[in-house]
Amino acid sequence: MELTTYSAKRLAIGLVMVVCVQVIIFLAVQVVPGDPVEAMMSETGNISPEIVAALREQFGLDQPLPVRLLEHMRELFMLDFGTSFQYSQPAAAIIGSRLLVSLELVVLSAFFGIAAGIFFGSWSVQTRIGNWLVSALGPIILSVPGYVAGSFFVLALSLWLGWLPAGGMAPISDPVEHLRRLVLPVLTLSLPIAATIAKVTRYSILEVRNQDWVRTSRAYGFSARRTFRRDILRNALTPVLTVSALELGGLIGATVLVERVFNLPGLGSLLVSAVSVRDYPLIQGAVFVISAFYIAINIAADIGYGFLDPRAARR
Amino acid sequence: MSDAARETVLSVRDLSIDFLAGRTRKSIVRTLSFDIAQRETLAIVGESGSGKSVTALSLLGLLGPRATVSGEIDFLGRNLLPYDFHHLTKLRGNEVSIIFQEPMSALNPVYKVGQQLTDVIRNHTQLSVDQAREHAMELLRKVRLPTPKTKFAQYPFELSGGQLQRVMIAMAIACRPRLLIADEPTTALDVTVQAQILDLLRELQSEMGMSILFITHDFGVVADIADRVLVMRNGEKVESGTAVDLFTDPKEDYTRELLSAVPSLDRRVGNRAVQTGTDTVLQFRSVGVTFAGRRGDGIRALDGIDLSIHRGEVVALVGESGSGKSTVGNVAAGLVRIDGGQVVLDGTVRQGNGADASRHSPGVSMVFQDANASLNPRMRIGATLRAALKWARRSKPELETSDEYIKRIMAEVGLGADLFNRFPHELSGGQKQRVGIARALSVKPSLVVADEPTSALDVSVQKTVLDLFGKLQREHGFACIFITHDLSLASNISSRVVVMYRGRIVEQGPTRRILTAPSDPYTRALLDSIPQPDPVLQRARRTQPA
Repeated sequence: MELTTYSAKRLAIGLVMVVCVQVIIFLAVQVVPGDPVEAMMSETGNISPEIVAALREQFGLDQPLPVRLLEHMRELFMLDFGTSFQYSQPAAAIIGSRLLVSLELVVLSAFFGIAAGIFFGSWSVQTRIGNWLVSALGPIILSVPGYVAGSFFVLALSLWLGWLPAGGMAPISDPVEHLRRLVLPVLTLSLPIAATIAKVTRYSILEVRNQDWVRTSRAYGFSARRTFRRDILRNALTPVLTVSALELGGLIGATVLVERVFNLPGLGSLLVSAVSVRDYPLIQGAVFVISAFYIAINIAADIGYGFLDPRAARR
Repeated sequence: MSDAARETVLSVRDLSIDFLAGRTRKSIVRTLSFDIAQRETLAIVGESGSGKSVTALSLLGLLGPRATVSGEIDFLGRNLLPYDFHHLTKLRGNEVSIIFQEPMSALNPVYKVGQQLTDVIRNHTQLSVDQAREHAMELLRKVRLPTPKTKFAQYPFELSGGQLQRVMIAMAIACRPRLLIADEPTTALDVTVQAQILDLLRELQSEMGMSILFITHDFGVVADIADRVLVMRNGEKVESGTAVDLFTDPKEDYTRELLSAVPSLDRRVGNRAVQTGTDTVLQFRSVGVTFAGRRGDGIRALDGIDLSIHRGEVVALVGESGSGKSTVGNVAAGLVRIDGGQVVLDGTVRQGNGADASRHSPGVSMVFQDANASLNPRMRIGATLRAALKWARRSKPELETSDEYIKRIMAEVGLGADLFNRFPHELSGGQKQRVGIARALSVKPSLVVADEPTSALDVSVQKTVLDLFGKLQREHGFACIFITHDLSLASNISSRVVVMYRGRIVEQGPTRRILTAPSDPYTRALLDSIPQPDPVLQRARRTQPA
């Protein structure tokens, strides 16, 4: 019951955050000098002022700022981001087609990264090899940038060994090939997550292990395995959740580079190209989706706390 | 009482425990032997570092991989050494149970109380979930947990310390153990709650016929619950015997020393003359303090407090946790904002809700409960003392800050000049508290607020620190608010006692009057709950409850 109101509160806060982010982004884009018509002009050269005015009117750029902001917000909530200047197609459709690829990448990488991190983190407190793996290999993984690691995997696993395709995307109608093409990018993205999560899990476990209730658990005849799962790992997961949420947020940024390396048609690469030509509808649509995703992760993490630590829901 | 024909439940012979510290072995317990008979309560008493808790934990193999345990631990004819962990898991919580000092942290904060209890039951029985739940509810009723149905579905942080200790006891008796190990089970609890928990343990013992190994540092508790007593010091047995013998006729000097260090209620009452100075240092006029709650609902910590402290007098502020006694001290020192009434200190008025409702008062210094935490671990003792002086000099420019002055103050509290350049971790608990007292004294305060300054110390150390504090108070003549939960202690140091309960003063008056003829029922309950270090007296009190 407490948890329901707690969750509802988090959701409401999230919604307000989405609106705030949109206003900030809208203003930020408008404040930067220059507009898309100017950008087009610089490409095509001399255009008569009448045509410029007509274009501005067509894109709605002649309206005063507050009007445009309100109009923009109204459209956003109908998921109408307008027509891309660049592609002359509805921005929502373009983003939708790219979103799936990025989402797949993010979700799979997060899942494998976090799962592996918790596993290796737990293993590291129990065995010497595990400890060595996390303490020595972890920093190495973290110090190699994603695009370097990605390029290395392409070189080793596809060019030399020929086990996996080097890049590109296969349609979902061919699931085996589709997944095969995802292996390398997911590996590249999830390794640093696994390294970070393993380290956090390790330290969290080492701390919880000394708590009084762990002694109680042993004193009441629970097996070592049960004590570990019930009274150590379960309690150790709270900081892991915090870091996981942060890592997930960082992951969205990381996909931009990985999409480049593996030539994947994702949201990141779309955003980069949209910014360079000031394709407002596309930028705002993409940023809306990314920020909404980011905020959704945070809400999920907050609600996750409520489950992991009953005290969080009462604060 | 003790019956020779009774079966021996636990027999420990030549128990030795070593701990691996780095590359060296440290001997914690040496050749300790003792027996516990059926239905008997053996108390192991000792100061910190005596090895009493380690002994208790060793019985169940709970000391961890760095400990080496040798000797014989014979439980009902089965030798537990060397540990067979498979066997131990079946024993733990089943035939031998244990309850701990800190009930707040002994239960996992993320599971509901009822579930943790049910888990323990299911761990040792073949009961179904429903049957185990039913049994758990029965146990919660048996340990007299109020509203057990509601509490069953609550998390540990929603229960009080006393309630949690009842839950722990329910857990401990769930499988009808033959032996219950109680490791300082009431140390973290208020005296009135302590009395209830001790009653409960005694009642359960007579009903279920279990033996109890009771670890404690408190001779009052020993007198209350123990049939036999074993006194330990530095990992060795000092002496053992029946409780009555030990209290009436201690054989060893150390035992005698410990017993005489225990602050006792009626021994020294009246030694201190009641000060009737009219020179008022501090005056509270209907002072109120509210702490903001989590959801905007405030907690009324102080509710209309009227109090005056005269020059040169020691006033003991007594109450249980949550009574507001520490808040009074913090208000006096200007650390807490008042939202009603006024505080007059050395003629300066602080008004509730005014801009100066909280302001540091230069005339007040504090001695804290946790001497260790009140010293910066990275600062040398001399630097710590100088920092306090420099700060105080802003309002008292006449203060000296020279090394000589600091060393003189240190000498006054019995600290050698060689400690000037030491770090806190190089000092003992008693020495650290002397530094705390030196710091408070050095700024020549008109009022010292001592907030439970000795409750973290062993009794023997407590006595010397208290004696020192009393002597310095008489010499320097500062007024003192001595905050304590221990009425016996209050009786030894103060000329006046103020009893607090839930943010109000329920009674105040000369120490002797409060202790001999309390008018308020709460004060009487508080006095009755204090276990006296005298088993005969204690037993008499028990047979005729107030």
